[in-house]
Amino acid sequence: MANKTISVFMRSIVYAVGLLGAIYAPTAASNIKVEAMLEGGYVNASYDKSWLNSWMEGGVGVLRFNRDDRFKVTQGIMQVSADVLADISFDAVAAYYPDGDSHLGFTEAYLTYAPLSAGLKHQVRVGMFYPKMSLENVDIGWTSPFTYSFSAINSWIAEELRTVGAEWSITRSGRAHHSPHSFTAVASLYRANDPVGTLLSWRGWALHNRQTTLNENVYFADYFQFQNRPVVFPDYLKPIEETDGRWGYYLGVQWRYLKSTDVRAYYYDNNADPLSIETNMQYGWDTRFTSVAIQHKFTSSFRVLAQWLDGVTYMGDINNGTFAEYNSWYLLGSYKWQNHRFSLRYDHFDVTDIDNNPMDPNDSNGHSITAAWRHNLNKHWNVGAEWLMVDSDNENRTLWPKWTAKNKQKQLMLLLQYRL
Amino acid sequence: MPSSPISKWVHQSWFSVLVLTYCYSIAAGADELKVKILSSDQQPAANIVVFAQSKNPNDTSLLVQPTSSDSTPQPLEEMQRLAVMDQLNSQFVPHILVVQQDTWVNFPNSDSIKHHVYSFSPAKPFQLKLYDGGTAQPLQFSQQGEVALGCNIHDWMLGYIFVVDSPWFAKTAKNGEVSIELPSGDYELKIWSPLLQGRDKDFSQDISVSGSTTHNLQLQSPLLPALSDYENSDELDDY
Repeated sequence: MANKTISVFMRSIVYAVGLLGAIYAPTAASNIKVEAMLEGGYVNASYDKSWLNSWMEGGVGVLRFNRDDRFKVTQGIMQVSADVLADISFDAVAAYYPDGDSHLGFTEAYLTYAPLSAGLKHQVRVGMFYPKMSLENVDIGWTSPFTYSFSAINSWIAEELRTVGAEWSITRSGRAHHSPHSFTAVASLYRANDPVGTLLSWRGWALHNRQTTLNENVYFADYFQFQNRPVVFPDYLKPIEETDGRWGYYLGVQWRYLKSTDVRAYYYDNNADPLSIETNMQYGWDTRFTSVAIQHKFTSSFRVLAQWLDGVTYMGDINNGTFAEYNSWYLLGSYKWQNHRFSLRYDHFDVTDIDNNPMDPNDSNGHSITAAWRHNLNKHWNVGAEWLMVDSDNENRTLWPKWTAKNKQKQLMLLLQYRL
Repeated sequence: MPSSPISKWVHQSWFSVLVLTYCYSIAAGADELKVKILSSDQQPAANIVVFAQSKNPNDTSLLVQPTSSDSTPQPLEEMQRLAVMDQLNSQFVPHILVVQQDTWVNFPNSDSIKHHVYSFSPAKPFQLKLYDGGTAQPLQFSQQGEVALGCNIHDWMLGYIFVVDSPWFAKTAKNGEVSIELPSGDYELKIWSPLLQGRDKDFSQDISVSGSTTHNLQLQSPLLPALSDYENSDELDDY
């Protein structure tokens, strides 16, 4: 029950941060910046088997949209930033999604303390936020300016990983020191990210842009119905949940050469107790990984991004639980011509089952190609198209009679965005 | 000997593109000082501030005008000496702004994002939060010397305001050359750049200007790297 108290406490902090922003909003109008984006259009997820529908609908596919989806509002995002005190600012991002468990919620809400200093720059973030591991998700509300569907790595981070805690970073600006090299060191302590690893182990890697909001459950296919056991895992997880009362951490270093090359290396360990369990059957998953992200701008219009992530997760014991190794990488090239941006990404992903539990096969692997065109019409409107093809081979699909492990899915999207 | 005062006008377009125009009203009989600066490896040195301080005790242009102790903007006459340091594409524009002592400097923000401009330089420590499209009150720069500017949000932003106690100043062009109109007389010629090293930082030379006078200078030490690639703007920077 102590864990429950901590969980409630952490959630209260996030709400308090949100409330603080709302209170300050009317009193400091000039300091407030509100940005919003609404996206919708035509979606055609073409595959011939209905059981390859989205995990959110109980399917075993790896795409967000379902076979019969056509015209949809795909997402709405509102981002508010405000100065609260001289050195303290507040940021919150709320998202609307038509699909999934919860349609409206916060994806981030945090305070940033950034005191002025003549030498090294210190920054502390407190609340709920994404670690800055990725160089792909730099658009409004942690979306990607390159493709609509994130890479497999960042799709997973969007759905399962969120820091609810504090992060401290120290930056040495190269330019202030007449050097082309800038460095940042990052350390974070957090709670409430104990189930991270669940979706990778069961559903496997996926490609989408569905970010999980605070307190939201993520549903997936019922892989456990075939096990003759009295206690099985429910077919959902609550990513932002504290189960064991232990602190997790991550450490990161960032290096930037002038403004042309960025490298970010992070080590993440949620330090969860793999034997912990909540009354709502949410387990602790002891999850650790290393992520390295690179961006290099060859010219002002052409850049390449890459990211590699490799880790392990342990839940329960090795004979009855789920132990898995996982890795993924992507390579993304993006070319900008006038108000057009063309991006092409290759993703590779893999999960290896390393436990002794034959009732729970976790092996999966696959690769995908994503091609996107984005066009800014004006300050408010942009249009674009994305074509995505993914091959995935997930052994646990064969738990169902007649379902096959290996499948190809394609998705075409023609989307319109309005930005405030 | 008549002095030749310099007038400056600042034009700010409605499209937030700021152009700072110096118009030198050349009095009859004004002379010209031409300076060419070469780096230690004989290359033209651009963007070096060159200024001449009069050694003539009768030169009225050097009288320091009385300044108000509070920082509220003064009537138009007081604000005549107004310069602009813009924030554009998350850069300070211009990178180096030279102003005469007591000049007011305006800090507009032509970006759609927030900047938090500050300086820890002894000549003018300050901080300004500049919101999207917002305006801040101009600041007066009354102390000579270098004011290094940074942004607390965008660590690659770097700019300088260099305050001189002389109306005769300019920055060298790409060819390392600069031309300054000034009355004939005796001057102390000085240079400044954040990239100068060693003895170049204290360079000073007594000169006599009569008619058109040319001086060629060569720096003793190599310049620090300009790292101008930090100025490459990118709409996808953030984070």
